[in-house]
Amino acid sequence: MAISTGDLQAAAKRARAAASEAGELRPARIGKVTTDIPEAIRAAIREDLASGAYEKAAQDAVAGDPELAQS
Amino acid sequence: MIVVDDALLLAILAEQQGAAEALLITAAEAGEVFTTGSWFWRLARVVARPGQGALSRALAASSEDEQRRVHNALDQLPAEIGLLSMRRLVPVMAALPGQLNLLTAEAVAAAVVLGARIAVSTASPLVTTAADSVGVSVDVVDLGL
Repeated sequence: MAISTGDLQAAAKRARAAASEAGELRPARIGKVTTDIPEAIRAAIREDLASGAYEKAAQDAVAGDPELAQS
Repeated sequence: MIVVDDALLLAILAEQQGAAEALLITAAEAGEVFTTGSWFWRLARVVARPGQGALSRALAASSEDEQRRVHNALDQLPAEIGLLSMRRLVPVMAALPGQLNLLTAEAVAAAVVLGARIAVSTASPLVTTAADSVGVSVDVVDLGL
């Protein structure tokens, strides 16, 4: 059975209403995101994100799991 | 609203300081950033797996206390980052056209429900094609660190 745009709009409307009622359309807390990551680790994360090493690690981590493939 | 992938989520959590990251961090401070369970799960799998990158080397060289701090920081999604539950998303995912994998369906459904755009760190034909089909914008954010 083909899915129509109307079905999608109706499902989205119901989901939005339920999420709104539960207060889920905004994060639970508003403000600055802070974490307790040491500076040396932040630098390593910066290096991995810039060099593509993070993306390679992510692809390796989900290899064989097509449900988590992004590319 | 913006739905971010695992790499952009990591950049926010690590408070990276490039221009693109600054925009995302500002958006997060305003309560405008969501991610998905699939992207959060991808990030968790990378952190849990010893690899070849600088992060793995830095973690291996860190004290147990520092390792614990990093895992705590990356294992627990801050309340300032939104995450819609599958309870809300599965009916929308089921109504999306095409045969989509879990990661793509969850991301596009979240964007549809939130009226958001999707931001990814690398081009993703899977996500972009599915998003285009239902009018959701996808931005590829250059992590110019």
